[in-house]
Amino acid sequence: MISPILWKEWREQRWKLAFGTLMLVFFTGSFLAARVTSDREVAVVIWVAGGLILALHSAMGVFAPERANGTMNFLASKPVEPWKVFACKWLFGWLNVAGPMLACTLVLILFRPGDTTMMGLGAQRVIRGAIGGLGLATMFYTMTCCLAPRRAGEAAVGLVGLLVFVALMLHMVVAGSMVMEPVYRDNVEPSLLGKVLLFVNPLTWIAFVKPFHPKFGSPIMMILVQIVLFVLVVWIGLRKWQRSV
Amino acid sequence: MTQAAIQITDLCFSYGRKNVLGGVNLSVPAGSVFGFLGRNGSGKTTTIKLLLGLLKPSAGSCTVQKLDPAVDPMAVRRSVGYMAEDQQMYGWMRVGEIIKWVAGFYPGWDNKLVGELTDLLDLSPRTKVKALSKGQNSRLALLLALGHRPDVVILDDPTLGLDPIARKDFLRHVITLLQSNNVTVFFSSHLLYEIEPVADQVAILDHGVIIKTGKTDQLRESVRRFVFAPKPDATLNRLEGLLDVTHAADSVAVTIEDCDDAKRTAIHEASTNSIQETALNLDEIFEAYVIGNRGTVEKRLALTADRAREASAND
Amino acid sequence: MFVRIESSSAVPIYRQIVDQIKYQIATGTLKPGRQMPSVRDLAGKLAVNQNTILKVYNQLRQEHLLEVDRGSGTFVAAGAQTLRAAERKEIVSKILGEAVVQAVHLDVSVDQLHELLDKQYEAIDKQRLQGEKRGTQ
Repeated sequence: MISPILWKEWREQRWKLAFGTLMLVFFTGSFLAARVTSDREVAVVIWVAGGLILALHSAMGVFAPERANGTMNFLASKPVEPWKVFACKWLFGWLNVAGPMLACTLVLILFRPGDTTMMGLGAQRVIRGAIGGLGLATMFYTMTCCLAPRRAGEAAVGLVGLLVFVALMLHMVVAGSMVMEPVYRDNVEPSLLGKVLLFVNPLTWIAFVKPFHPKFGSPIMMILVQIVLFVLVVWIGLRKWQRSV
Repeated sequence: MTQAAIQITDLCFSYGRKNVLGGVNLSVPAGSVFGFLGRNGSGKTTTIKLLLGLLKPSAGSCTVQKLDPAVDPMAVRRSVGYMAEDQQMYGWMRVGEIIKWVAGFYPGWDNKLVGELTDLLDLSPRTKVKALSKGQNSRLALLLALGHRPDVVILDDPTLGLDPIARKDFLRHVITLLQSNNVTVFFSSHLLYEIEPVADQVAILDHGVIIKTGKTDQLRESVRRFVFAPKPDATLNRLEGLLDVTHAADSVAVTIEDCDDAKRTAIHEASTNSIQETALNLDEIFEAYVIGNRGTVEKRLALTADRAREASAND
Repeated sequence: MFVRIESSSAVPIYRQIVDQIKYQIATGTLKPGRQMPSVRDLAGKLAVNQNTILKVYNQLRQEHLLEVDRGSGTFVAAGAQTLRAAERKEIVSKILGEAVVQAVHLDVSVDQLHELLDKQYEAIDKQRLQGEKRGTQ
């Protein structure tokens, strides 16, 4: 019973995907061509800022329009489990974020094959950067669309996204100063609790783009904490969706 | 005894602090056309959503073809045809696309039947849903409800917003497509004059409880209004079958249901002189049931609140 | 076949249809031997519950105004106008009873009532003649 849902979400999201990809690739190409700043900086801006903006915009258009258009009841009354609909919608919203980002990563890799600056980054670094940017964007996208109130309209979801971003920044400032400062200042390994406190913030995905101090160890722990956070947020979002008929 | 296609027992539903349904009891015989009548906001849509498992009851239960929507809503939705009130569908899809889309949810979809219905209901597969008129939208919604050949069809105010001609046409389709194939039809409306010619039975829902169930062909005859000058000691509130009492100067108008000779005698005994007996039209009959003052309206509402409170206390 | 349902009347729908079919038989609009629409067709045409139409046809069959030919359908009975005299008088007497009650309320005298009766008979006879003429053309 999933294929009609996949078809519908694809048809509803495909133009957004095309537009998003085009826009981001255009900006990437323009920044690189204009040589406004180093390629590395362009990469950071695209992966972090571009990812966040895409994530916010996509999250606004994932669940809210179904209610705003009045089609919620029509969809909910079909013999299909709500979690399947939720999963499909999340997936296509995510593709709207991941698609453009991956396209831009490709541009970054291909644009200047002979340029030592880019090559200096190395393919491995580019891939790590892309993963970091995508990880952050995915978490931000999921948190925004899942934590918004049940009957929120698109604009309200956007507001929630901004609040989430502000909260993450504040948390990073506090946790950063509490946990990161001693590490950088005294070269001390942070405690387990400290690590978890820091890693629970999706902004730590930026460590893939610009690595943390080596005392933080391998990124595996960060990824695990993020997965737990992801599952928790998705669970909250699914409950809200199931109750929003 | 024909088994009930839809059985509702002591169904209660609250939304936060608000009691929407306070113990609905209803039995729809298989193969019948059942009219569910009530004012806007009386709880009709809530009842229907409970039947489809879109909401979970606070107390009580209901079954559709022996399936419990609170336990297995998917099974109920697969076996039932449903048309929502003012059904909004995906405007960007074309008629042909939305039919294919809905078909994907039902293994038993009958393409040949749908093809015939598309012609009969005058719908063109190429038209975009957002370009459909209200009448076409309703017919499309009906078609989508019938494609998998359900044995039970639930229509929530299907003629809302339709002009009188489109409304009659729609009801005509209900009779020729559904009743003649022995499909059980459960449809809600706030217009008694729409339900009465088409339904076998009608149940009136008011403030979350059923206040009347009966055969539609007896309604016109059974409700009567008597105007007379009452004796000073007459206890009008005790009259059997009383629906409404209105006073004016020195006379009183009393509306009685299930009128028979015994009740007429009781009226004679309460009156000082001649009695004028009139029949009522369907709007007036509906009014008498729903807003008629029989001195027990407040009691009835209090009963509803009590029952709902009891139900939530037992959870 | 024309049937009209009065939505604001106190008369139940099935009785309205029964009365109108009887009237059409009495005035010759529906002739003996003429085939009636099927229950499903008539129900669809009037947008009325099929069980109501079934009730109508059953009642008219019991009064020997319609007859069923298994396989072919329902027809106006051959002897449709020849009901037993007592039965016929009974039906009319009931209607007259209601008319008299109304007449008394509205202060119409017995003589005036007689006049009105004569006028009604004239009108129907005229209609029947016209119906027969059209039938033979």
